[in-house]
Amino acid sequence: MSYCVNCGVKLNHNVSSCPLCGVEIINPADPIDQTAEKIFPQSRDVHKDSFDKSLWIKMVTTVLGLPMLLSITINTIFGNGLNWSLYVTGTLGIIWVWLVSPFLFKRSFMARSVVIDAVFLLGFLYLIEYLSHSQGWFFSLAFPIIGTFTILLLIIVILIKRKILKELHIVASIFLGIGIFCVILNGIINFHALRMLKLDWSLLVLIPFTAFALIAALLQQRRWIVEELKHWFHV
Amino acid sequence: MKPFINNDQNFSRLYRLDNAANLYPVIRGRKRPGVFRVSADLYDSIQPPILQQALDITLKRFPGFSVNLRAGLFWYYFVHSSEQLIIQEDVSNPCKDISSSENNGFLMRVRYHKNRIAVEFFHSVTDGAGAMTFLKTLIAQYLTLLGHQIPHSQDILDCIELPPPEESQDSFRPFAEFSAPRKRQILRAYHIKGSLLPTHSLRTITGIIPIDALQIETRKMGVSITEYLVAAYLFTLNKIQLSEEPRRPLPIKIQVPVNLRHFHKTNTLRNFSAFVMPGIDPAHGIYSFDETLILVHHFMHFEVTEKLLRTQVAENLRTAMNPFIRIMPLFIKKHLIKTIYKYVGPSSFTSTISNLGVVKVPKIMERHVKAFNVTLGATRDTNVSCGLLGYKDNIRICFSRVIEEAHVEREFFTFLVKMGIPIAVESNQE
Repeated sequence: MSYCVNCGVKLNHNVSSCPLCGVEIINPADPIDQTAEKIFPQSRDVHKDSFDKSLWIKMVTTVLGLPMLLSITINTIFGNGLNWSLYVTGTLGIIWVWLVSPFLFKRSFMARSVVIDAVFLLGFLYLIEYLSHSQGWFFSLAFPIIGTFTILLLIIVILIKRKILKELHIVASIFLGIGIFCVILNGIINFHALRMLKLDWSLLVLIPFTAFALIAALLQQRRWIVEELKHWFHV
Repeated sequence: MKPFINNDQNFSRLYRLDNAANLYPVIRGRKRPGVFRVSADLYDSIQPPILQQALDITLKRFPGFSVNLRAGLFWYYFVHSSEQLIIQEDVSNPCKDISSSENNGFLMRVRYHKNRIAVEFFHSVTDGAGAMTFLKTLIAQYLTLLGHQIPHSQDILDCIELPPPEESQDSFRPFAEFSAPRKRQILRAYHIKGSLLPTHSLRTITGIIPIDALQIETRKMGVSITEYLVAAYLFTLNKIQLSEEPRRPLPIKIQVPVNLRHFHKTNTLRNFSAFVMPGIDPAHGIYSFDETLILVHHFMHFEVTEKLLRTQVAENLRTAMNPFIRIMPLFIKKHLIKTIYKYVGPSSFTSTISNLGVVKVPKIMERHVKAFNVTLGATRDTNVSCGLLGYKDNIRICFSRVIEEAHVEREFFTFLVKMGIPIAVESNQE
């Protein structure tokens, strides 16, 4: 038996440090027996995910796959080749990707599924443009809008994942992201419609959202406010 | 627990949850498991096949524990399970949430490690007193199978007899006194700060104190052991709060469960406890330990009385008996209760101390059982909890926490050491 010199409590002889203060236990009269069996088990009860991913993927595939097949079959038999059924198939395909892609990866699923969702959405919109023969809007509107949104979202997700953004900094980055996105959206729409880079309504969004972002970033400096908010929202 | 369907085998197939039990399924989750544990260290190593056999026999005597949880249209209910509850090897992270998809749907676990038998319960099933009765009966049955003669006394149940219906009854309703309305004041209390451990982690530090040494102090001050330890805990927590230099110090409040079996004779093995919340408010000034102790002593004498506890139980029952709440579908009720609990439940107290009292077993069993222990689950809301009990010559005070830092335990135990009380410490971090 040894005593902790800091806390004054008695400790088991096979303990190398005090569990209360962490100070190393050195007792030449009672050296630590590293080979001695621990009184507490070492193995952990690992959480088994009760959500069955494979069942979810199978269910979504079945529920969405059946109407896909049905619409293609009906369109092929009663129509003049594949036309309207491609819209149905594309829509259901996009829904399938959105519902299933988060469960395809074990790690970094958020960033990857954001990219996959965006790529498939772009593909679907291109298909609509191609089928409807209404050319001109995909590359000047859909592509830059979705591209900007994806890049901004990806940056925030990666920064959160790498723990560069924490707590109220996440809130600040979301506010700032919304503001920046509105500015770019405004620019893209005006360029598409008027062929000139002009900003109007987006500035009314950018200014308050930047102010909110700054307030959130400043509040993050006060630890007690963050703690209070954490308790209030039970994060 | 009120049975609503009986079969010919003299035990109920479906059970209503008692009043206290109704809350836990709603608020349960990975971060709030609602699980506690009682364990015993024997002198000899555990033989798993014998323990499994003993469990199979014991569980038949406790039909109210052999249940699965189901969601009905308006309330949760228990359904009797005739599956086998399989014993498991013990782990380093006790009191993990009991998922309905594991463990054959049982709301309890039986674990073993070397010479230790531990039973973990989801709180809807029973409280500390019921859990201790189960553990003692399980150990007695285990020892019986090993050839020892253990008498059925000191809350050890005879596994051969049929379980009487009163063991499964909800004792809250006959105990409640509805005539006096009493509103509990809900004030925000201080919460311990610290870096959260990963989900499903629980660190425990157990302090072993000789009863004699503690009794010298408590007799000197003319208080009970619970009062002394609650006061020491309040004093410690206040010291920690003040060291953080808060702008506005918040009240420190400790939730202390009270076993209602001391006030109302019942054999129920279901939940049958209420709680009181002694506390100090540093806004009134700095409290010395002696002042804190006097405050706790008088508070406990005033609050832990049959009349006030009956009224408290009635107040809890009133909500469940409200006709609007009763006809509200469970999926709506669940979210409503969860939201209310989030904002008024854990925010009103700092931590919990649950004293299971002195555990007594027959003399012949004492020769085989070295120690008993109780571990409460801690949550992210109340990130440090404390359970204690007495057995033979020692009191075991087990702190469980979900934060990295052990500053609360350190302050508490070093305070007792400074008061001249010797303490031996064990931890699952070793």
